[in-house]
Amino acid sequence: MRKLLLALCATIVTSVSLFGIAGSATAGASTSSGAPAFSSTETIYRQNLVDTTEDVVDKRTVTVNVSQTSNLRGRQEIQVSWTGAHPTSGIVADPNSIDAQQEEYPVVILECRDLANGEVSPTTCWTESWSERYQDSFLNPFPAYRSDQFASAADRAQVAGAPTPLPSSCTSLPGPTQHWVPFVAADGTTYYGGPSGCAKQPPEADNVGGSALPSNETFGSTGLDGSGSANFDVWTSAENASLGCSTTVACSLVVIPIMGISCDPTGSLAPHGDQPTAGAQLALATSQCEAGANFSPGQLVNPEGNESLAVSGSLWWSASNWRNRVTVPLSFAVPASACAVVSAKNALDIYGSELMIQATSQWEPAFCLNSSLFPFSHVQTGEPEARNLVAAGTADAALTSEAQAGGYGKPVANAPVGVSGFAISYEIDGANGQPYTDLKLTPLLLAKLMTESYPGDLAVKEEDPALANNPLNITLDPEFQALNPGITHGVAASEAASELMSISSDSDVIEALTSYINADPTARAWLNGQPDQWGMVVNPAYKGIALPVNTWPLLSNFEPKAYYHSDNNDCLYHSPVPYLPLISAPLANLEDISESLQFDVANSTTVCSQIDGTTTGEKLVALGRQTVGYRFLIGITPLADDERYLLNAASLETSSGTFVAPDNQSLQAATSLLSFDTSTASWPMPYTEFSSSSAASSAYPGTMVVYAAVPTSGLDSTVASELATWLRFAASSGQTPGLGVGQLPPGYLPINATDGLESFVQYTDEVADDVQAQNGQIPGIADPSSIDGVDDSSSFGTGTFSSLSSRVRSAGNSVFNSSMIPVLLSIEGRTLHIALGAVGTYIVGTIVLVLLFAGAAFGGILLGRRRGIW
Amino acid sequence: MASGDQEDLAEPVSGDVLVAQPQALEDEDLGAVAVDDPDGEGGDGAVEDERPSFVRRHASGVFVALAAIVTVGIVVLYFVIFAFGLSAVQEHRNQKQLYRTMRGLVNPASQVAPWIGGKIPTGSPVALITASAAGMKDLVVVEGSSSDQMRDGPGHLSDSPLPGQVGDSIVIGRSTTTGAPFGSVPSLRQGDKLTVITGQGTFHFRVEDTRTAGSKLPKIPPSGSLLTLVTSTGSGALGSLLDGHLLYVDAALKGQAVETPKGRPTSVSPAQIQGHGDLGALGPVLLWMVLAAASLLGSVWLISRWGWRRAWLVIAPVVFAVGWGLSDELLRLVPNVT
Repeated sequence: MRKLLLALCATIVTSVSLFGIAGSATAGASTSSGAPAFSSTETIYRQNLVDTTEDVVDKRTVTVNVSQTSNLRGRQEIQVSWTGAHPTSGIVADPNSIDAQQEEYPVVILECRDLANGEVSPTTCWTESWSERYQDSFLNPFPAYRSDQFASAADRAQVAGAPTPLPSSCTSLPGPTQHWVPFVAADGTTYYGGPSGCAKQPPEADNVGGSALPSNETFGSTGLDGSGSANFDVWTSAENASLGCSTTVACSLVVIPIMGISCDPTGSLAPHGDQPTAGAQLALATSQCEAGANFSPGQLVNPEGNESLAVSGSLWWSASNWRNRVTVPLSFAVPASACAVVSAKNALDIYGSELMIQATSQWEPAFCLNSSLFPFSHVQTGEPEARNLVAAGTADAALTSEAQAGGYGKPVANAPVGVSGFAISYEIDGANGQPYTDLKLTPLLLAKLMTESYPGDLAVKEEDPALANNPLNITLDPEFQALNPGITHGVAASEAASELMSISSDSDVIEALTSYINADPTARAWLNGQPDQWGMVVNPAYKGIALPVNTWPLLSNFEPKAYYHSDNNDCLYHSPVPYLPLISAPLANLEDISESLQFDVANSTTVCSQIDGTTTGEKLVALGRQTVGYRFLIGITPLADDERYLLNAASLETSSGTFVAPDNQSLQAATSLLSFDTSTASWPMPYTEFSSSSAASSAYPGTMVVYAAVPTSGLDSTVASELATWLRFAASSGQTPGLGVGQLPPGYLPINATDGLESFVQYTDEVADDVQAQNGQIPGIADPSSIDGVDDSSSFGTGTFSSLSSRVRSAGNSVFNSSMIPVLLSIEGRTLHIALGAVGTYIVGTIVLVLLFAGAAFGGILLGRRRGIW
Repeated sequence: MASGDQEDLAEPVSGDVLVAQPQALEDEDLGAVAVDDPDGEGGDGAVEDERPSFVRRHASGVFVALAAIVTVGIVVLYFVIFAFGLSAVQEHRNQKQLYRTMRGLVNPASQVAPWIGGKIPTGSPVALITASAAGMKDLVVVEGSSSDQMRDGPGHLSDSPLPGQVGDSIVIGRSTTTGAPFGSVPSLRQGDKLTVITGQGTFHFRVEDTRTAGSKLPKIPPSGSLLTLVTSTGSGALGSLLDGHLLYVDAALKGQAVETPKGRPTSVSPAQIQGHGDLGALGPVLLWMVLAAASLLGSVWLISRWGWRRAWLVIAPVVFAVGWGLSDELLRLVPNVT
């Protein structure tokens, strides 16, 4: 009996614990958004063949994680991180540069096209330079790679992989010992590369003009603890046609933790002709192959030292390293460009907001690939221009964040289709050379950056009396230093650290940013000329500037004349222009800023580029790519771009001392501040509340609602019904978070009931109904013609009474949308308290007194008369 | 007795003087004439009366001062009479003219309809209010509610919709001066009927409540249209002057509201807001005061030339006209609800 009970207990306990373990395992496996999409662990070795035994000299267990591997978009950044790898030495600051291949024990990350059998090969992996796939030796016939025990016999030959016949351009270039790794492009062309690329290189290669973008092969460095991470730029065929990755051409990410060559120096596995002769040659081959690192782990490369080839990243293709690779299959999202080839139907053009680019690029394929729907195209323009196109009738719909000043001249409804915003993005390396990740900015700091108030350049600081007492750049500003410790005081990139990368065209994003700045009392007072507590003053050209504006003006016209000398800057010497606008150098659109931040390109056009040192054809060009480890870039970008390109977004100040970073919670907190405004038929953002209201202190100030401004009368019926379908999609399935076709990418707050935005959903559906019916109604507004500027000129006291009233009354049967009555009316019951009584008493009293005096005076005159005085 | 010379003696002009004269003639000593009490007081020969009083010494100055005070008093008195009486005459006249205009515009056969929306010129008639409970019959409401427009009658606050349109239409009127068109508005009670005719038709309102400062705002009626009459009131006879406070009477539209045409102003000058005077009148008041001073000097000069009896024929109308103008402008400084 007892035994039975015991057995029963044991069974119960075991099953419960198993259940619990299984449950927690599944719970752990149900990853949160932070967990990597791909993770793999492997044990890798470096082993040398000594006589006939393997001598394992190094054994590592490496785990590789990749943040996203599916639904990838062109130029998207994904994060690759690893643990357990060999620490890197001879570190080069820029992991994407060609020099980085010489790091010792790097982790090489390459994008490779899959072969027909699904495998990858070094011949389909992209590298930008011939030097990354070609090795030769003039003196030593047995460089390390020839002693690779795992290499094939062909690979161990003295001349391996060379093209036959050798192209004439390559004659006498290669050394006697050569190893070629050709590149096979997507179209089948084989590019051999070779010394200086003499045997043909793909068009995107570095020294053939190169690609517009920096290359994506990465030589990541591992720290002393064996862990490291790198951001990898994924390319599709749109970025690199020779690599040719797309939805139909499979590609993989190959991660190779370099362990060094596993040596067979005697050549016992190689053909007889490829064996080193005994004695000096063998000794050299052995020492070359079995070498470890020349630099210490964690040490930066320096010109005096020489990296050891055996353990460098240059030999990533060598069999010992290649067999240690981790292959990560990649799959790509349907790009928006797929629509161009799919449909012959006319695309519905929707103009406007760059904030919606990431969302519409996922939505466009959902429409064009569905034969029952229609193609649409998001034409990126500044929002003010898009609104003007709608007002003029050239465009049928605009994506905008503000109402049109003065109205459209016809009923246009603003249907919310996206909640996103702007981010102040940055790429800053801290004092320790590592990327800084926790930048905090106040409206005052933003005002300082935008108003060209930091001289940026010593020449300006010395010559301009107005800016002489201002810090040279933001890293020398005590306000910035207090908020952001860990950044060098006085960075080398001084000009980039004195400006905010911005755009030159009209945009609602600039209007939102300047509204945020203007609503802060400290920033406004500073803009009006009040110095900050350390004595920094606004650039006089911007003093008292009226905000908000939707185009940021460049107002400084100071020229540092002493600097404009032929020796300093010949371009400015011959054609002097104001200097500070050259530092600001705004770009054409927000996407350019995202790209500049992604590739660390500084935009200030203060470098005079001359051809052959002559004056002819000289011009001012941008500063260009900053050195990794010493980067400082800040710019304004769409929030959704930060998610795609892995840019850092700064936390912005709301109430004093509180800084809010953009994420779904802070965006939601901002939307809870919104209320419908009947005069503009939209939800304007109350910027003054961010600094004053405690409810708003956790809201992100850069939040912006994007509306589809669609006319509800005057549209062609096909266009109207297409727009109605589009609006209904945008309000429903288009708001499903995800990376697939028709879903909402990260960087947008989904508009749904969970986020408290069901009123937006309802409103957009109502607008869709009105657009479809083309009935001239705007939901929430009783009389659409009462919106600013709606033209209804027939109502001004002309025409007869009866026809007038009938005209007025016929503009819509349902005056009210019964659920919106509280919103319709603007009750102007100004129940004032005016102290009429007090004033009245004084006045009446004064009047009475005056009358009494007058009476007395009159009496006095009469008396004087009688007495004969006068 | 000098009887023989009695017929030659002139008629005595003043008894005392006559008595003195024969004494003077009979006396051999002609030099010793006693100037005896010329101001008629009893000759007591006291020492203090030998130095004339302050008033006598500065007789002309004192006269001028007293005359000035009297003049000011006259002006003030004129203003008071104007405020309570003459301005009513002016207002009635204006109302009659406006009523004729409005009636003509409202006539369906008219080419031009009354203003119903957009930028309505201030002073143009926009509505006719009839409320028997408040003694208002076809009261013309003009656009604009500053004291300037109050001369014509009640005014419509420009940034509110017109009566009958969706929203809260606000009409402000005087309760004491210029004919007190809203003088009986404080006596309106819940349920009283108001009829308003505008360019968009006839609307029937029912008074919902009466409120003062600090009261809750009215409920929105099903029609969506409210009419609020604003004036001042107070307890006692001169209550609205001495103990005045703003009074709001809200009336809800019964029936269907009409739409508001575009272009309504979104803000008004402070002078239009209830309880404010029109400080823009300070300029004209100054001008009129200069005119008044000029006419005063002119009258004084004319009196000195022609004397009282003839001069007053010319002076009176001028003074009346100048006084009217000055009082009219001064009344603009008075808050638009009193």
